[in-house]
Amino acid sequence: MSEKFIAKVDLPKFLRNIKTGPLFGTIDIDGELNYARLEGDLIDELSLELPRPAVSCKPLFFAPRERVAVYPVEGYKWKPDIDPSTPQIIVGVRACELYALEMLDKIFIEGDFQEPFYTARRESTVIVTVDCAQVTGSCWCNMLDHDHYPVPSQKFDINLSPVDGGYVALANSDRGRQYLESQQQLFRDPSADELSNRDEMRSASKKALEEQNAQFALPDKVTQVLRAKELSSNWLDLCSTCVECGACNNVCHTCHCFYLYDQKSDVAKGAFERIKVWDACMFMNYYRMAGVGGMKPTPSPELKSRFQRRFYKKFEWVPDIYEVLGCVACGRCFDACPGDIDIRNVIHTIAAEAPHA
Amino acid sequence: MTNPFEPIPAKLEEVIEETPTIKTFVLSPEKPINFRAGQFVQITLPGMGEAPFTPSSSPLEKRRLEVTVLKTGKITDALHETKAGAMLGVRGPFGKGYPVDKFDGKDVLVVGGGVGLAPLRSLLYQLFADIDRFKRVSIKYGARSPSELLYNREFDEWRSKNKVDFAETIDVPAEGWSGHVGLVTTLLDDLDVDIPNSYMVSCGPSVMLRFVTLKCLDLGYDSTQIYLSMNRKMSCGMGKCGRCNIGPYFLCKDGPDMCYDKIKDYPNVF
Repeated sequence: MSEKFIAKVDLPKFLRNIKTGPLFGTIDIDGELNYARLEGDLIDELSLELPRPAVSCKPLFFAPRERVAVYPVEGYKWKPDIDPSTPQIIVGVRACELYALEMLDKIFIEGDFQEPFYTARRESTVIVTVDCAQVTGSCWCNMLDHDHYPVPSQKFDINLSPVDGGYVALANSDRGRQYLESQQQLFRDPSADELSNRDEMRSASKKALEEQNAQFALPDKVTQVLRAKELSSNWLDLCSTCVECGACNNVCHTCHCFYLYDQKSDVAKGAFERIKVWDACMFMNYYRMAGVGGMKPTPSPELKSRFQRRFYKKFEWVPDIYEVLGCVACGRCFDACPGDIDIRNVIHTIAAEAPHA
Repeated sequence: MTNPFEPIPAKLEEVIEETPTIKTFVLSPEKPINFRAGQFVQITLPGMGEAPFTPSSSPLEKRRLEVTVLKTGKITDALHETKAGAMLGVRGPFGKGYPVDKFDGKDVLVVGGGVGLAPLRSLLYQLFADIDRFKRVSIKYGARSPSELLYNREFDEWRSKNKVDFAETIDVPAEGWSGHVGLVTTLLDDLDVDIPNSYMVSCGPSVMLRFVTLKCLDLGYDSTQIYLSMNRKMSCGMGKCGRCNIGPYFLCKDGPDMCYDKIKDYPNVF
């Protein structure tokens, strides 16, 4: 389907008309975008032109903490908190978040077992993306050759490209096309000016990314750099300001570690429940196992190993298993880090020391 | 869609005291757990949580499932206090299990340490049941002291089997012990095994696995002939929760028994 134009004032109207379940979108909180549940007047607060939101949409698919089982209760019917007949809509999702969801899909949906909660939310969520008309100083997607706007091979329903006075909309799924057709009174064909306006905006963002990341430029692809096994890099130096708070893990859109723990049930008397909670490899106890003293039950629990592992995981092991990168270069980990550890700097430093063929 | 986080109720039928620190728990799950030797299950202690164990019973026995557990942490301490009749939970089976098909026509060297004999017993039962398929099964087992020798009531039976040899050792001399003394690696010194046509399978503490591996490499085993039961913190059992990996391999999905050749180049294997 060809592109359509929708005026900025009509976008909240469009969302109200298609909304049947929860609606989430990015709003401006002190100059920074964040996802919020949009109901009533708050729908008019939707803001899409600022750089990518500080926290990704991951929690809307993979909850930070949720009940995943209640036992032993006969007849207890497990049910994810989302109904495909009234899908949730998320507006303002960025291209990097789509790359991250693609990776999470491989972990949680593919393989012998499906994670039913993530899978249900993924299937019943409508994703409305937006081009990055502006970038943050920590964005570095250009270095992974990722675009800062969604491309049709990615999985989204509708994309919005901010242009003067509104958005150029592109439907990228049957569901997206149906929404646009059902609300065709709000859309018209875009003018040639509007289309060139979009292309200029995209070029300007690309230029900004290239300029701010020139100092971190790598001689090879990031994966090739990390694949060089015998690195002399001083990992201890690189993580010297890390306080093991796990903030990088929590804001990372591709971090998927979780832990299960059991407790007395809040919902069924006399029963127990299983809670799934995000875990973080920067936490000291991440690897900790029970074992006989002196038998070294936990292999290499120290920070340096966990820090190093984080990079291997994202740039070598995930590509090995799933054939996608485990990092989407959103730069959120750097923004969140109280120790000012810049992922670009870590990779750049390793690259400088790695032997190149 | 089924919920893979939900435990299957399992009645604790019997508790067998094996050693002062090890007990075997005999369970009858409400739905049969069809596991292959080496695959593991997550045992739920209601309200306390889960811990992963590889069954120590025969994979051919479908209704009852045994796990042999060393008292060594929060869940295992509480499990040791649990009496027959209690209701527990089971999830699984998870992982790949031992590559038994590869053992056809080969010498199988089985090296266990301490409670590490538990998952190996499951494998041994399977090997014994089909012994004609294999050239020979050689078992070496070590424990800290005579009282910590697991399943010693079964040793004579194993020793007497056709095509099977069994040797045990304790780490340091003990009163009343006239058998072999020394770490389990010392039992590998005079090995009567056709090494080029052999596989070595080992389970035990990480330090032991390291020295058994080094010894076997010294003896002429290739890293592709060595299978080790690796341990990492596991939670989901499905390769999703993320922390049980060695390099790109999730032990819960690709292990827990790993071919040494696959993992040897990754950091912090032992």
